[in-house]
Amino acid sequence: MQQSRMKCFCRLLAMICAAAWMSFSSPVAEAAGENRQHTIAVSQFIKHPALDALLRGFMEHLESAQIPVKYVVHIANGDQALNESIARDIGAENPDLVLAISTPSSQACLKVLPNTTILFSAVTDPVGAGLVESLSKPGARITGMTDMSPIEQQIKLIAGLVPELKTIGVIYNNNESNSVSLVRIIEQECARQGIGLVKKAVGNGKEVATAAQSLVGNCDAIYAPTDNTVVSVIESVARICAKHRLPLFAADVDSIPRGAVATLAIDYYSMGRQTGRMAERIFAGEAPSSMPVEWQEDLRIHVNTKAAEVMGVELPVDLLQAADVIYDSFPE
Amino acid sequence: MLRSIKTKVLLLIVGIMLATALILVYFTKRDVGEAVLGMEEKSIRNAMYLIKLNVENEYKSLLFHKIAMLTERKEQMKSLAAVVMAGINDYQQLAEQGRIAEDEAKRLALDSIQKLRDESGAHFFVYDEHSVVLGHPNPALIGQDLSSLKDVKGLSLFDSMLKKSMREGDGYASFSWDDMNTGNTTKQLGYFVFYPKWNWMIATAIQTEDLEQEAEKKLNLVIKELKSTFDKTQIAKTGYLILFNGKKEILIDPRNSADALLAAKDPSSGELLLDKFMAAAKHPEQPIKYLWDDPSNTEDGQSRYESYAEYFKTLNWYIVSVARESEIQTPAKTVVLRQTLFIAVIFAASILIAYFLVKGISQHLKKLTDHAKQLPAHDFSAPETELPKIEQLAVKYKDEVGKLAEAFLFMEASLQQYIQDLKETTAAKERIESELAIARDIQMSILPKLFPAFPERPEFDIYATVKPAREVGGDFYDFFFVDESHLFFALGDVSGKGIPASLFMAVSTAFLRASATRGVNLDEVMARVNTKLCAGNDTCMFVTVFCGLLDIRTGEVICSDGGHNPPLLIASKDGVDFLHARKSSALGVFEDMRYYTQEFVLKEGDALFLYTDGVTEAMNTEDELYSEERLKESILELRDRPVKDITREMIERIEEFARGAPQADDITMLVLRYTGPAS
Repeated sequence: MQQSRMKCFCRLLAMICAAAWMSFSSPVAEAAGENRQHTIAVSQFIKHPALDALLRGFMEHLESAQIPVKYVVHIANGDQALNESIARDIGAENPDLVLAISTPSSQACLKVLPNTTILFSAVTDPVGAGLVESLSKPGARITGMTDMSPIEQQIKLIAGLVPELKTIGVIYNNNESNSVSLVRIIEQECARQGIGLVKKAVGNGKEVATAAQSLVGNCDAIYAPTDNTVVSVIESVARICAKHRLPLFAADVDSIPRGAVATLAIDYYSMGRQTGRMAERIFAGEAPSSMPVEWQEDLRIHVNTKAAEVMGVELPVDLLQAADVIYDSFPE
Repeated sequence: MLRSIKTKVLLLIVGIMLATALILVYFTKRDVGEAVLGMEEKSIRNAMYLIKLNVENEYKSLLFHKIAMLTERKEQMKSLAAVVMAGINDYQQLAEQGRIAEDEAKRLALDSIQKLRDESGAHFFVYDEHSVVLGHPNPALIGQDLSSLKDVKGLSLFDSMLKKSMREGDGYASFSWDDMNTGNTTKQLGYFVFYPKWNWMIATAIQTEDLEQEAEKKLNLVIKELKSTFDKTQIAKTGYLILFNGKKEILIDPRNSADALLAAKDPSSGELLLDKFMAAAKHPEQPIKYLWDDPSNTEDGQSRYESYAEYFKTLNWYIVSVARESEIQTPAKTVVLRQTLFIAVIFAASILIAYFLVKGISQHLKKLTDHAKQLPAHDFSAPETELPKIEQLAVKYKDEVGKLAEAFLFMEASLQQYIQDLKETTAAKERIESELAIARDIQMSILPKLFPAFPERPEFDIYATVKPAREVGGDFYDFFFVDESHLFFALGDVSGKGIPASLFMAVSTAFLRASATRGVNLDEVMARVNTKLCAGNDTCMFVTVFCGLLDIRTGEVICSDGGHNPPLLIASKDGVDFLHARKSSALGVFEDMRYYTQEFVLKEGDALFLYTDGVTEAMNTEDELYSEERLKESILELRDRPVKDITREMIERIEEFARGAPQADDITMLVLRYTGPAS
């Protein structure tokens, strides 16, 4: 998930994460001789469970691939000014690779660092954000992964689970540009599938519950996109939906144990591992320009049977069999 | 009727009881009725809620059953794949050991995989890292690139599984499979394992339609179980529950009225009942009411029905209670009726008890009243005959009735005593009164009462009268001839009243008679009587006297006024006037007093009117005196009348004036008219 729409910026601490150095203690690696230590500067726009999971997956892949890496992790806490100053700091650090997590971080790094290789991840629309010219030919020193939600599949999933589906309600923060573009795609997709869409824009987390309440009776299901404002209070939406037996679907896996019925979503941890594999290829000498922008290889289906029950959704066998994780909990 | 205390008390009690009963009935109807109705409705809702909970639990267990079946299936596939992998590994080992060529080993492995068929329906296939099918039960697929095959997530099945398996060792996927032989599309669950030595993907696939079917069967079982629950569930007296789904398929109808239900409409709106139920399920706590001719109810015609609807969205099921409104209301009505009857009975009993209580009290009062009524007729002087009833009351009751009876007894005893005393007093008084009457008679007998007094004397007419007051008084008059030609007349008034005055008067009269003798002067007569009266007059009584001597031959009169009222001189020609003779002292006051005399002549027809102060001081009810003026006027009017008429008329006028006021003093008058010398 991206944090580019955070309005409030605050000053942050650069967090230096411990370097993972396996080879010192590994005579095999030493014998191999190629396992010199790499430095990776991480610029993450904001601390967020999904983005943190991505970074963890990234680190764990490189660790399991036994590549020694020294990390310098910077988190901008959603502060755009700090975000740019972090990019400049990274320039001074002169790392082997920059891992830019989220669109604003990627944009700042691309702007400030003229020569460093940049690997981005969790960027919804890399072309639209001006990071790459095209997905297949990203550019000389930049490539990465997009986290564009599989909106088509998500809407198909909703339609499959809600037989009487005619209209979907969507709540989003219209101050988050990423959400606005997501909603535009959702709108197109709904139109394509012949489903009506009711949009409720909110300005902050407090308005979400009111928006959810106003959707009751006006739609057959609520879809919560990967919008930070909405996801942060997904429990309150879930409670309103349960009260009115209105199914709630999410676009991220973390919302499922918090009360949404089901999702078909990107797993940021595995996305991190996939990004880690791209880093591995770069360290192995592959040119970023020859590495097309990748999309999540694997999608996760997470299901909450309890939420399905309270919101009146019957879960068919094929969904249960395809589910990667099945929860049976609902927020009190 | 309303005057009796009994009626008043009874009316009060009835009024209070009636008001209380009405208030009780009103609140019973309102609160108890509503509470019972509410309980009845709540029990229906509870029944529905329990059914809903039951359905929810069944659904939950169904869901867990599905998950459990899937988990089992997955484990099964994993172990099948392990067997296949072991087989492949054997061939690879053979090739590695150089006992057969690698291509041969691969061919043999593929052959064996293609032939493998598990009894659960699982089949196996192999593809390489380019998504090209290497081995499959359907030979037509071998060599085909199936990278376009998508799983339910919309990912390329072969590619995503390859990557996942390379990453994680294995993976599961759900996908739809178009069977080219049969043309059917089946839902499949696949288990994918990467075999790195040959870069093969080994897939184990199994149809999962049967799981859905099994779930469906389970659901039908749930419906069957619910059916027996519904059969046992009774709503109100003859009501029941039905279950139908969102497609308006009746799933459970204990009365087999499915067709009737499908076609039933609410006559007021023309709306289909099922539509009405579905709309009502949004508010499960609110009943819907409608008219319906339920064929399952034996009674003919339409009745009012009341239903509650619950929606179980997960299964798209509607649970509806169907019951007659009247039956739901019956318990409330029964309770209200029973309470009302109960109150009515208590009311009637209380009235009855109150009636007897009041009657008991009033009976005693009546007894006392009757007793009091006959008291006037009761002869208290007679010996005691009948008082036991009252005495019984006084003894038996210590309350107000007893006290009243005691008071009656006390009063009667006092009355008896009083009557006894009264009788004695009256007897004494009667004795004194009779003695007084005798005294009065004696007194009156002293005065000349025979008129005309001197019929043989034509020269004058004389008349006198006394109208005695209640008590014996001291007035007197007298006349007699002292010689042949001189008539002595006197009129007096003794001070005081009663026996002493009467005795003093008798004495005075006697002295006057004794003193007025032939040849004696009138002043001597008065002086002599005065002297005699003064002697031994310890009681200080006195008498006023006017007396005179008339020479019947000439009409000359010598008179003396001993402190008396001035007489009226009635002149036949000149009218009437008071005769103011020279006043002397009253008699019996001081000894040796000198008495003056005066002379005048009565002409023919003239008359003298003598009176006591009983005339002028007669009082009416307004405390007005008759007065000398009135007397003078009256005499003026009466002057020509005969002497007897004058006195009689005067008495009438005084009585008229008094207007019933009691006479305080004796009224005594004397009229003497000179008619002229005898011819």
